[in-house]
Amino acid sequence: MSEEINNNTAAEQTEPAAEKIDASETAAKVAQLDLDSDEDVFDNMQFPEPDYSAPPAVEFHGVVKSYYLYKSEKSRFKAMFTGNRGVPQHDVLDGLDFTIYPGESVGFIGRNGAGKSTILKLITGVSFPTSGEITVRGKVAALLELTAGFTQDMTGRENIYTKCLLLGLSETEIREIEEDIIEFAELEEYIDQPVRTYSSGMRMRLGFSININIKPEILVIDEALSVGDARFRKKCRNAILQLIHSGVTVLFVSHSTDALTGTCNRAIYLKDGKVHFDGSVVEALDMYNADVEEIRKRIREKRRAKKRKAKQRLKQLKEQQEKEKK
Amino acid sequence: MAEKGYFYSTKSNAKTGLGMIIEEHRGQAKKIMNLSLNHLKATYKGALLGPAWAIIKPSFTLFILWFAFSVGLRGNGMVNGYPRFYFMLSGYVPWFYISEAILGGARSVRSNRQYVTKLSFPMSNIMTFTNLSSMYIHLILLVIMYVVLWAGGYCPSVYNLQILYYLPMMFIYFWVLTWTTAPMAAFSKDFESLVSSIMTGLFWLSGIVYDTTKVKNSVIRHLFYFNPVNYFINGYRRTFLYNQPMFSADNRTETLIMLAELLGLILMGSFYFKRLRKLIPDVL
Repeated sequence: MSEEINNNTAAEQTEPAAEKIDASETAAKVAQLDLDSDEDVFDNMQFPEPDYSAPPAVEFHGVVKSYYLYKSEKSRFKAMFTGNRGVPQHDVLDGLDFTIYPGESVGFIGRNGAGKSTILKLITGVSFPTSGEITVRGKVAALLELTAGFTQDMTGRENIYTKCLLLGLSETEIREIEEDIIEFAELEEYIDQPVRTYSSGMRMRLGFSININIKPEILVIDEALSVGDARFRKKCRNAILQLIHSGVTVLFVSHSTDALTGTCNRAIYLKDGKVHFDGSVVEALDMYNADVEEIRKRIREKRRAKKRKAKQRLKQLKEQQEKEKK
Repeated sequence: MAEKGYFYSTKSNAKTGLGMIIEEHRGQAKKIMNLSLNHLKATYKGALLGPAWAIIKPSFTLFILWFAFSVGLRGNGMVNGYPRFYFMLSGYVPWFYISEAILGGARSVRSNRQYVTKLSFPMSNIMTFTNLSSMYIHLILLVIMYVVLWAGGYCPSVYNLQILYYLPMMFIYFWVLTWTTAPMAAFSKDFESLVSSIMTGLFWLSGIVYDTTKVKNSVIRHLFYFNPVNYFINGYRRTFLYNQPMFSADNRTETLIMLAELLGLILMGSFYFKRLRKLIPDVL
């Protein structure tokens, strides 16, 4: 089973031939890995060389994103006619500039609410920037909302068809990859059953399989992604790694040091809605961890200061009581 | 894949909502057709008879109509010189489409919210494929209606060809209406409730069960000219039942009013689509 899938993806890698010799060697290594073994590919990874001469895959120019915060349904209804005048805004991104070239795999690092997910939404074209310009060149597959666009009453096979249509594939393209999708998802005879009868794991598997098999040029991954059991998770990870080695641009959001160093060759650290650092993964992680440590330290100090104050106050009270006794 | 040239940019040439809608539709014809058929299937999936229900339900209503007006209430049989059953049949069939287009169209974006908030699907295409899939049902009902009228001896006639004007015009009119209603209903649920509560009133204010051209009060009779539902329903009657030409003296005023309203709807739809399109993924 796994061998067939791997052969499929290995075949795609022939296209960008010259510069990716190293990469395809690693890809072959990945392909040979047994899903049930404990061996991990992260240790012996070799990234393909990004193509810096090509037009950039993703461009952000002064991107600002702010969300409107409606106080109530009434203010929302009113906003339709007044054009959001006087509605408070929450700024998430405050003028972002970066360029990502084909073949790069970029990790986005930042604390909660730093705007990582917003960036991914902007790249997938779901959300729109308040101002600034975004250009994306290539087919985007998003491993964000795997089960989005499924119709509960339709069968798995029909849902593959619909979802691929929604993603902009033509009918022949869909027929080409249909079998690959079914095989990867390991749904077997369930594929012709309505999706409402699936377990959540089966749905996720189908969603993941569709996204990975549409032959994306840009892959967007959110960290909170866990599909199926350990074996299937490994299969997913291998599939992602194979895509990376075939020269796909990868955008990755995560807090995990291991996953970031294992998947990315560049990191962007977001802080206060701006690009705080853009460069090597290790440096970005160091900065991020230092900042997190500093914040923790500050919290600890605050706590200590509070304790100190409390102790002093207690002391004062006791002294007063003693004075009164005398 | 490269030859297909997937490209996405927020640098858009479209300055107006109308431009945005045209841009979102460019080259999507086949996809929209597929999705409209898919939508039809999905609506009735999980039932044994499937899409047949889309025909059975209105046919049953028509049967009840026939029973009530041809068997039950035989006494007050004629409207405008035609048996009440045929009169109502030719009014009900377009009304089924119109009510579905107004209500289903307004709800379309909200009920397909995943397409907008999770996938980057062109929003205006949602309105188009929902309206198209109601159109398929309408076409089948139209055939059934034609057979019944033929059996009654009112068809065929040259005037039947007027459907080539009324049908596309009706589709366009209520499709343009959704440019305003669908984004608004997606933005605020109150608007959706507003639309659905208007529907019952609209039924009785349009000449479906009675003939609006025979209303005694001349002010009210002329006010009916502003009701597009009335315009299309009477157009259907002209085409299939009365066998009258679509351009008669008073009809010209009605047509001009309808076209002016359509222009107004295009402007309003363009304005609201532009205003709400980029906000909806964040608030829905």
